[in-house]
Amino acid sequence: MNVIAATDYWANIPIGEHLWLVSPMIVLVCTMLAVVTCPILLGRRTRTITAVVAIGVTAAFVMAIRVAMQVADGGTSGLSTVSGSGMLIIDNLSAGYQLLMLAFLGCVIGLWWIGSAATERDAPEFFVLLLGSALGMVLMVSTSNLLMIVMAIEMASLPSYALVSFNKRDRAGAEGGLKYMIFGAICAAIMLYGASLLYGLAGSLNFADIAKMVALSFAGGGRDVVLVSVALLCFFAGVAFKISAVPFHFWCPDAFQAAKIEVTTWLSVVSKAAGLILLVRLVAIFCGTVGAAGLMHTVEPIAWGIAIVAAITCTLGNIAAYRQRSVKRLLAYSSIAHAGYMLMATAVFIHPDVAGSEAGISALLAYVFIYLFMNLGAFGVTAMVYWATGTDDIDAFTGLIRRAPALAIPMIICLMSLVGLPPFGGFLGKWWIWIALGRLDSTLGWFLIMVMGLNTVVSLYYYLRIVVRMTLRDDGQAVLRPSFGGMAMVNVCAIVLFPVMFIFANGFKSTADHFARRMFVPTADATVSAEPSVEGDHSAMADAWVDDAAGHNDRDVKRP
Amino acid sequence: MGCVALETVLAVAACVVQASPAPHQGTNVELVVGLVMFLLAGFLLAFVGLSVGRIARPNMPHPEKASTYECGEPAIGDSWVQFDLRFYTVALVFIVFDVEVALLWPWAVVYRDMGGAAFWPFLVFFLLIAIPFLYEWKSGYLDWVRASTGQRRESVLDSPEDAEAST
Amino acid sequence: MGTIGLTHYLVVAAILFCSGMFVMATKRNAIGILIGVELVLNSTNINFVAFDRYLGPGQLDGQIMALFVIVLAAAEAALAVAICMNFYRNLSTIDVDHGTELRG
Repeated sequence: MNVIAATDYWANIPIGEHLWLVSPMIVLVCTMLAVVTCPILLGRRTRTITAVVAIGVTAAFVMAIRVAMQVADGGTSGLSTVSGSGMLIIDNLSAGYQLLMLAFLGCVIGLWWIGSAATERDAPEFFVLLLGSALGMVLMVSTSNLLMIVMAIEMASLPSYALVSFNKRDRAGAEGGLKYMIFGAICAAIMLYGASLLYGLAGSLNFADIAKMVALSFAGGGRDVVLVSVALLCFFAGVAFKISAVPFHFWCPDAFQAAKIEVTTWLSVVSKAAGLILLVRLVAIFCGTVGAAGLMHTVEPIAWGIAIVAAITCTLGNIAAYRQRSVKRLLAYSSIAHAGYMLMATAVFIHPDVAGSEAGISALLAYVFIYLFMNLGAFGVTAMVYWATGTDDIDAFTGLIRRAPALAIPMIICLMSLVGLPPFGGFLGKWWIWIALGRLDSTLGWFLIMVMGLNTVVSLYYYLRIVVRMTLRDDGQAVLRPSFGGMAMVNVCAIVLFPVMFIFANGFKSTADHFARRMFVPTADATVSAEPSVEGDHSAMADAWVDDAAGHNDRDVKRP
Repeated sequence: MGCVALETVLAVAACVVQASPAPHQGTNVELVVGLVMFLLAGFLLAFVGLSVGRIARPNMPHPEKASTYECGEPAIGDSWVQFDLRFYTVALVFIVFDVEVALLWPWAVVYRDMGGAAFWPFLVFFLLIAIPFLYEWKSGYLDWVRASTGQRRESVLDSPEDAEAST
Repeated sequence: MGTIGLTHYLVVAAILFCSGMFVMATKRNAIGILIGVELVLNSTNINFVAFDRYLGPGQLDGQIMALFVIVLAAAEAALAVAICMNFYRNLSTIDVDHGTELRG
């Protein structure tokens, strides 16, 4: 078996410069090791371990800044052992996400330190799980290879299941964790089956090759369309699970309600963003490949599929949020609704006009960025209230404007942002998605604009309910004294959302556009021709198996 | 019993049917016919035996007869007993090293060609497994008989190896 | 009957996949559902290895993928059983229908 030796695998092994590009991930792994080494050498004191983690995350953050600067001026700098397999891609998108994610990891650890550290006896386990899922999320956004996508999604998910049911004495936690885990395991299994079919159909694990195969199949010159659709549907079940799109959203409210609030924040903010950015990357590769081949018009059914899922997702999320009393659960449904809005932006990508796609991607990136701050702020305030009163019921928020104005004002800003009212950050995100949809000037665009408008009106009610409780009602509950760090965090989020985002809106949007344009830089292996005869040699190799399946022979005969 | 004798006869008959018409001549049809006959005979035999027995035997139920061991020790409890959680921990540790070996297999295949270049990545990989293992050991999750102070964690909800094994 | 080709492997995998899905859909026992998941993962492995074999020599993607799926299945099983145990300790059952605390 000299197969591997025959390829020059070891000549391409990442060294030096390449290792610098993944240094934040290496630092994260080292931090995990340090967290488990620490109890062996220094004892299990929570304070010591938190200090180790803080040092590790800070170091990773510094490294991430360095990486972001390094890739800022270059295009997509592919990093892979076998060139063109897309195993690990460090570009603007992944570096940017990494930077944000590490900052939010710091915030989540800060929340944990404020709320749970005093009673936590299993700090090493908590941190290993948290950092493990963080590493999985970073990997998730920096790959376009099926193997890595599957492994990264699982690596982000498995620790999350354990994090949800981390507290062993908690019935709700046990139940939420079990539901989350079972749902996740089923989705992962279905996704893997889809991945195996895609691998067989395209003959490659790289998503660029798969996109080529899908486009050809939809154009009628390749594989059986039904088979390809089934494989794609199965594969995207896993991604839909990550972003909790309907019908893979059932875990979301239960897991979010059952988990400790800092874990909920982590899952709703960072984990969901990772899923969305993975989706952005996949769809961008898809559009880049298909658009270059001029086959965009053939994949319109996919755009409609995404649009319908998006419409159902946000409608369902908003309607279900109506009757919630637990603010945690309400925010969980609200995050499902927001996943729907972001999916709408995804539907824009798949359009004959590549400029439309660019607008969609930049709107989606902007929305994800704003969403991170909105949700961190809202969950942060909920956490403060929960720790002070012992409940996250909506009654605990009554009269908050008097009891803790430093919490109530940021909460109002975050909630109004979540609705998408004009002066706040959330409005900008929605507005840009609206513009992107409008520029499509097609039935699909107008349909989604209508759905989004209706949903915004519907969602106004349940967000306003909390605001009204906080400001207009007062039942004389005691004044809250939240910790300074927590207040500072939620206020920073609010300041980003209200004045900062609005003042720098133009610069912000042009940065997002810049990122989006970068996604479309056609790489050598991403270009494809409509002519089946120009197909690469390994694609011909991939055809070999079709001869075996008699049902597909007729399609294959047509090809030269 | 007569049943056994009858079965033998039928089996022999089936074999004869299968073997008699020129075995080297060809084959598939005779083979299938023979197998089908054999199967039919088997089913028939079981059916006839059971139904004849059911009709002919005297019916005198007794709870004693329904117990698992009609003669001998009375059964105690259920066979679905709960296993000690400690077995779970052992199984978990086993799985981690089991999977490690699975991942080492391709490495071992190419080791001769790669030489030193293959050694260091392996060492890193091994450390990723070994250090969490040391942690478990040191924290007392692997002790079979645990001191009462170490009892506060009965389960290993989270094994650090899981996360690292998937890297 | 002809030689065993790719289709045969795919059919076996598809049958395994369907059995797994059936098990997942019908079992109320958490461990039972996980067994269904394992069935699906194994069908995936058959697919990967069969495709790898038929896609031509020199390509090892499918086999590597199958190896990682095995690792994944092990990690998932280990964690899943831990979570089931946690559920059992709190509710004295592993019937998923008994998880009714979180609703709405």
